[in-house]
Amino acid sequence: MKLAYTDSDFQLTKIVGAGIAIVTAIIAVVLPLVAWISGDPLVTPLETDAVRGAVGDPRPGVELSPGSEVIAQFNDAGPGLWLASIAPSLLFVALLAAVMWLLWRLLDDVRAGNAFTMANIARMRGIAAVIVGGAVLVFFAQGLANGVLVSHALEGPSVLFEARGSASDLLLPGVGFLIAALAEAFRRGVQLEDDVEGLV
Amino acid sequence: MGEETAEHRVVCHLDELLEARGLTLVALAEMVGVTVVNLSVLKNNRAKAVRFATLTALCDALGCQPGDLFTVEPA
Repeated sequence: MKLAYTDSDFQLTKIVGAGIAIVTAIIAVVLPLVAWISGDPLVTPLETDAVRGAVGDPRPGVELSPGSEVIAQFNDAGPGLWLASIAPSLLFVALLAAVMWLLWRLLDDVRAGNAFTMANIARMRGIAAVIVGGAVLVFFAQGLANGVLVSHALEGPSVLFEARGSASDLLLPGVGFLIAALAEAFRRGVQLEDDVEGLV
Repeated sequence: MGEETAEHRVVCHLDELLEARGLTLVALAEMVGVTVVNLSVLKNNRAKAVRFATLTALCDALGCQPGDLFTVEPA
């Protein structure tokens, strides 16, 4: 079976990319915003090693559901708490939209037969930078947001930053570096294409 | 697009050779097996490089040597 990337595959890729961005935005930002506007309690997982009773009981108005992860329900969450819970997701969605837009433009050029251009190298480097830098930004945003949530959820001293790192956190930056390497291959492609242009 | 390419002073005399032999660009293109567009690029000094195979075919078709087809203008 011969594998070929046809026009319909280009369209499908763009549709899937757009779909992922839209669905992520809905789940990560729109639904929480709707819950906030509707006056529902803020329900969010807490990334913390604190166990109920070990560092203090939950604050008034907060219910904790221990399990594989701690789920906190804030019955009277103020705007600051809602924003803290949504901010990392908002940042992630913005970065995802930026990557999808750059990828969309890159795919348009590849489909038109103009893959090897300086503009596409810039786009690939942009995607790599957004992924690598974005992964770091989202990690810190999540850590700060989680610190705010934990501080509001549990009795005891305030927590500035609360995050758990794992090997899987390196996956996205790794993908970013791979794309940056691919951009270098495209740069060589631009040189070769320039050599061939005007060749009789 | 791409990085800066080196300037050159190579001039193609395909126009004069075609006129001397009473050939059209289309006829030459058929004899040589190169598209009219590419021969036009060559004739108008917009080519950046020529394949040896193309150069051989051109010289055979025109009955000339590479030095009759291309000269380098003085700086």
